[in-house]
Amino acid sequence: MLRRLWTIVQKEILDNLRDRRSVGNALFAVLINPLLYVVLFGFLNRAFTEQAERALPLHVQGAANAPNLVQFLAQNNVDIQEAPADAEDAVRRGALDVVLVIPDDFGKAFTRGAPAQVQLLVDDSNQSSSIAASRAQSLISQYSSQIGALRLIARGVSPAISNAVPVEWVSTTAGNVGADTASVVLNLLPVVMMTAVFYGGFYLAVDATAGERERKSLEPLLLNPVPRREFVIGKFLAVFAFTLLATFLATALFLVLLGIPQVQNFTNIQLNVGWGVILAAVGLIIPVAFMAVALEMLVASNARSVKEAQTYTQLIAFAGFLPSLFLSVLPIRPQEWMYLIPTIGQLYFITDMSRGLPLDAMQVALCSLITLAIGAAALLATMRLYNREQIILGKASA
Amino acid sequence: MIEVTHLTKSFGPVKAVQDVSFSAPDGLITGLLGPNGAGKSTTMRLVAGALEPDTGQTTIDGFDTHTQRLEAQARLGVLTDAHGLYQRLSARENVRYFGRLRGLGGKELEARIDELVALLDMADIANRHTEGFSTGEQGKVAIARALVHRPQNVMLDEPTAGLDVMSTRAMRAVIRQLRDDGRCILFTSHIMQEVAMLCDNIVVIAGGRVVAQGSPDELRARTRQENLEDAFVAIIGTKEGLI
Repeated sequence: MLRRLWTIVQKEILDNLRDRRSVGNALFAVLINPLLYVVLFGFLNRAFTEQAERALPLHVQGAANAPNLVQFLAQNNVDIQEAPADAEDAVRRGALDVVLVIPDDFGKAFTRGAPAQVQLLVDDSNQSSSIAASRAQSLISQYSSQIGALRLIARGVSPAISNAVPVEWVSTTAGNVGADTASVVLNLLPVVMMTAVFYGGFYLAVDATAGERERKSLEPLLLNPVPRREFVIGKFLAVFAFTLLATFLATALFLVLLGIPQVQNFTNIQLNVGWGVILAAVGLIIPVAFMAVALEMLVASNARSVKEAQTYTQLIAFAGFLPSLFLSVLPIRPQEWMYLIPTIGQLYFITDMSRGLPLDAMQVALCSLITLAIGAAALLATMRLYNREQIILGKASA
Repeated sequence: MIEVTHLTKSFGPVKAVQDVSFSAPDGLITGLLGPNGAGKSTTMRLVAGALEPDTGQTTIDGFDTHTQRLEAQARLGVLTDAHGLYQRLSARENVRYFGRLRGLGGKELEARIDELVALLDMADIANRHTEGFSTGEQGKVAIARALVHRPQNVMLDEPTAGLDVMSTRAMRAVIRQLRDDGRCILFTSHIMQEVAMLCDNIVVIAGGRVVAQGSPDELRARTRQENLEDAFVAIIGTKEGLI
């Protein structure tokens, strides 16, 4: 039986590999994702960091009133410019993002030790205006607390007394990820993998079932004295192997690409993941690949034509990878039960594992078992279908 | 030896086969004859184990096609109506795949394939992918595939359809050779001349029923007709579906 099974697997793989265009299409669909994400996020992040590092252009009215403050700002990457006379209007029109107004009595109040007020002219409805304003505001309050501390010291008082409730920012981000963008990019790892798992073998699953019937080679095949479940298992194994290969390639491509120094220089995303993580991620998703291929084969075997099979399996593939897409943009902290749902569980396992967080072995085992059980049920249903004459007649269960 | 007893099969409201019984003994060529839609192909598919009968039984060398499917199919080679080759495999690979599925392998299988390539005169196409093969070339590969395991029983659905004169003659020679080896051959054909020339035993089916059975001479004598075509028309009462 094993020799015969191997004969079937061999034939299916050979037959599929010779269909260059379909194999090419499948690999392209799976591998274009990681490439696209790296390039897209690279550009986004690059633009973002460049903006943060760029000098803040700040128009100042009455710069001469507070030479110290202006000098402090200039030292902190602010490009000081003379504000036009109609400053308020210019901000409203959007010509200027933000204008700092230093009143004429600033110096007098400052020397007296009274609050020397300044004004920031902002258009709250304009996003780039408020980003620039909050950068300016935080710099001015830095200056303010520096001066305040100096004044306390001059009066013989410890500046610590004015800091009644200090807040310490403790980052709990574990493992190898520090920066926010790297974390966002890691959220995309399950998307890349789920796409590969659900779309990698999708074409082959249709071709080996509905395709074989449509080309009329199924009937002669089933006239061989071979238990029909062996054909189902053989075809399944061939598609499963291809899916795993596609998944491994997509995962490795994504993570290796992000680790290349030249790519990191370009994207400004510092993320270095070892092969251990890549293999563990692929390992975690194997049960999903098993389930995906089995479900796709079941649906494709039930369809009346290749076209119909493609439509239905595409729905399965879409439904399968959709949660990963959602959770990558809406990072909801999971409830216990969510870990048990196939695809969603694996999604969290992979995200956690790639961040270096420990996994709950029990949860992983349970979720994998549930996923595999659904796959096995689909496989058994396909075998039952192959034992009925409908599989040859090509009619939906009459 | 293929035996069919009280076979009945319906597709929804359509009664494709109604109470068909006949037997195709070893060492004889049995022709299944009938107009289009008479139930020939359905009967063949029931015998081959592709379809499930509603009632009745089909056996191959005594093995029931349905309760002992694997044993029955092991003793049967079938040329189906649609050849259904794998287009991305070469002719040789197509035959080899079926040979392996039937437990053959190694040098023995390769030698058998060489033998079939010579027998069916397909040396020039043996190593080409079957995509783009003519109907005749496809037919040859499909027959080689059906005969690869030297089955005792051979069923051929329209074996000469689409073949040129030379190939048709070669095919007939192959069928006669199989008979002379003592095998059981059941085949369908539209071509009266061919049936008259080849068959030792004819089963005429019309409307899903067996309407006559016997040697060509017996059928001619029974209907008092000079040639088989007239005998056939007399039996089924119409020329419809004949070529």
